[in-house]
Amino acid sequence: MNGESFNRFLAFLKTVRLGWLIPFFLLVKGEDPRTQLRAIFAGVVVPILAILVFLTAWEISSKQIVTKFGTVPGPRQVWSAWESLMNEIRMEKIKEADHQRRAREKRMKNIEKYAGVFNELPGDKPDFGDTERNQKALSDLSKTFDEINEMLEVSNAISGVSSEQEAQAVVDQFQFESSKEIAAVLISQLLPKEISYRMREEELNMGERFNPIEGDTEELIASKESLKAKELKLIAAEKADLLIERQRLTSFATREAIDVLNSIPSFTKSILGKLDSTASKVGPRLDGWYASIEASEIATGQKYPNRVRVKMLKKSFEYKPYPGKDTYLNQIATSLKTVFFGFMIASLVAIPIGIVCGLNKTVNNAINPLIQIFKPVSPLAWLPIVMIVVGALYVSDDPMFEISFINSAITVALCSLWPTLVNTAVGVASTDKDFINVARVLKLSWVTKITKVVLPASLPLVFTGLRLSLGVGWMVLIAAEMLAQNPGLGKFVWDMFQNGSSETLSMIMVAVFTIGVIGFALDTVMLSLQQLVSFGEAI
Amino acid sequence: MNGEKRMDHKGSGTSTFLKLKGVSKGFGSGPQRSEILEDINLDIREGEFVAIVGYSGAGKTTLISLMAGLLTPDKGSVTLKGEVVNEPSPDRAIVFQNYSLLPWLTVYENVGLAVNQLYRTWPEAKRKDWIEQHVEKVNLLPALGKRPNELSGGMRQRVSVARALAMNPKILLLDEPLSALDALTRATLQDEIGRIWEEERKTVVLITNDVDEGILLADRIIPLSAGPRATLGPVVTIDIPRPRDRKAVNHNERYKEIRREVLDYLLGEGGKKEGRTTLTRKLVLPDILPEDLNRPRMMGGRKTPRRRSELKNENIEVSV
Repeated sequence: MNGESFNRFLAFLKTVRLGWLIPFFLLVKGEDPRTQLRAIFAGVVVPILAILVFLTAWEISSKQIVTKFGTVPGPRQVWSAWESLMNEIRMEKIKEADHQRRAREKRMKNIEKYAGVFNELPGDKPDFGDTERNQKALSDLSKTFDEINEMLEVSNAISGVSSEQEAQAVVDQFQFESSKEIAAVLISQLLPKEISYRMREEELNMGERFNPIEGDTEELIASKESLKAKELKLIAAEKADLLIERQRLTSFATREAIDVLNSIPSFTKSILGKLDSTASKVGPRLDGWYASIEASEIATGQKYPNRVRVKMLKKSFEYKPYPGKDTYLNQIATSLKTVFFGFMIASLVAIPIGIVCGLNKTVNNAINPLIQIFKPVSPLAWLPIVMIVVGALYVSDDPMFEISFINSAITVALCSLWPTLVNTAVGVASTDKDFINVARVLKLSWVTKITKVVLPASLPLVFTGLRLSLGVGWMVLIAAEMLAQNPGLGKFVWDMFQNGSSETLSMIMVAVFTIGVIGFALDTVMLSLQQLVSFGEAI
Repeated sequence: MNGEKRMDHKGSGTSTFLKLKGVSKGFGSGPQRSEILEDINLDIREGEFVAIVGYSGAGKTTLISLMAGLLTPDKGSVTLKGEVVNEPSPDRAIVFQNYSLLPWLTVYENVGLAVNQLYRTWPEAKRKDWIEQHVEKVNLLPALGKRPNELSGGMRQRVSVARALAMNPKILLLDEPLSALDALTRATLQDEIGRIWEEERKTVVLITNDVDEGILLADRIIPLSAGPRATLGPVVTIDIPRPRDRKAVNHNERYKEIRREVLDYLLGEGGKKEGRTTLTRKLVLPDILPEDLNRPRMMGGRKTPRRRSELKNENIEVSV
């Protein structure tokens, strides 16, 4: 890398907020190590230390507050909640694959069962390949799923046992090596803790150790009670730790299961893939055939003998998507989609109006009061209005978008409109007078003047506005989704709040961090774009 | 101002090209109204290089904006070849003091903006040639694909000159084109402007605050008195043969004479005009001592600025 492109690379790092990496590159390049190490200390070590201090303070203080959902989760619980969300995603992936497998098996069975029917199918006879090979692939697949299911069952199977021997006896009945391996990890890492916890809990509940007996002095009773409270607290802490540990090992098991799913041999995959693609071609033909059978039955009044069989066959060839539940990733995707949709609406409205305002003082004076009044309005005030108006206007039997999506997006748009509008107006109005003079001397047409001079000159400010708008939009989105029940992060937070389990708080905290990280990422993208259109002028 | 002096502004003999007649211009209204220029009379012949020198804030930019048609006079008229100038036109190309290059366009595109606008009917290749030809004229071909922020101030102003020349104007208006540059770059660009003028022989009006620059480049030099109500002083014809060498000209007696004449007007009669902007308020220095940035800072934060008033003056008496 030559000097100039290296410098450009460093400048790029700075624009995408990776400036803290620069001293590392300079260090590798052999620049003065003392300066670079100092820069690394300031840019990397100090923030990391601050994060560690924050985490420690959080961990310590969280234990002090007891809510109706248990103690406030510390960083480890929140991480564990994140793990459980990721685990859920993996489980969904496995379930989806299983769903697909079942559909394939059913289809395969019907293909064999109604093989004769295919002879009457108009057109070419579909080629499903070698039946034996297909059967083999399917049975391989089902064996894989037997393995996966067993792996996922391990944790349940040995959760009630009271000793390692007992657990070993259960494990010995397992079919697959992979489940035995998972069991071994579980037995060595989780079981002793679980057993000891259960014993302590029982002892506390059943044992009379802390119960006052006759002849106890008041002092003794008090000290017994305080001992019991201490023990309870210890057990609660142990339980929390145990939950974290269990989550970790569950994640481990699903990760292994995903590995098994991914390790299906490629020739099996290719056979199944070919089968699927043939099915996707045959499906519509069966549809057409069945429709023509129905039509001819009505026309001729004669019953077609194979009608029911064709219908059964047709049904097994229909593509039915997996009716899985929304995972966390889906919810994040929904939120992003909503915010972008709202942001697009806002930009499409705000930029043109902003340009007109910037060009014409009269228009600006006319619109300014409205901007000032609507700008500070909270999304919570807009949302009911939006819901009612959209509810009245957006009526469709087969809506392209969910109504809750439209509600949230429009609320986001209404709130994030203003920064772009104001900044565009200011940017256009403050175009360098010399640029305008150049346009005047060249006698540029109105349109050319706007597109070639005014707009490019105001782009940095327009992008400042867009960046602020996206920030506002993302912030507003969560509230809007909460109330509009749009299945995104906002609804996730609301649902977690409503279901009130021991995981409620940690799940909401996961959402808080997710929202923060995504907001930061969006801002970084906008900042980079903003710097891209500023042509080396500092922002 | 007497009639004789006004006569001096007229070109001798040949046809008048750009003509300013009794031009006055002011801004604002009511008590805030300020008259910038008053009774400006000027005739410029075709192919002539005229320099107008004056104080900062005297209204030089207003004057050239009137010539360009960016402003219209309150009284009097500006005419080019007999036609009244009341709007800007590519016929009167202007080079601004702060370059006014569009920062998002490369050198080629900046010149191209003008060329594409004015010579739409030309085929693409011809326009490209025309652009490159004019960029070459200011020796900037290697920087064709660069954006203004990658260029030095001098290079930027050259691009600005190339853009103006590419418009093939009837008259070239230079509004303090070199005043934002350092002395060395300034000298180089002065030579370059001189060379280009020799080649092109366009009518040029140069506005400047540098008397030497004016004398070095122009055929005639006219001082502009200090504002407000600035007006043109006596025309001095520079009859020093071209090409004028910067070093040699310094020892030229005629050069010194012209210089003295212009400066005498500006520092004397022209400068002493009533109501000239003078600083009457006493400047109060801020009560803060400058910090020595070269000195390493102590850890543990910056100190509050040191106050001048807190300085303890030590009087050291030295006995001899």
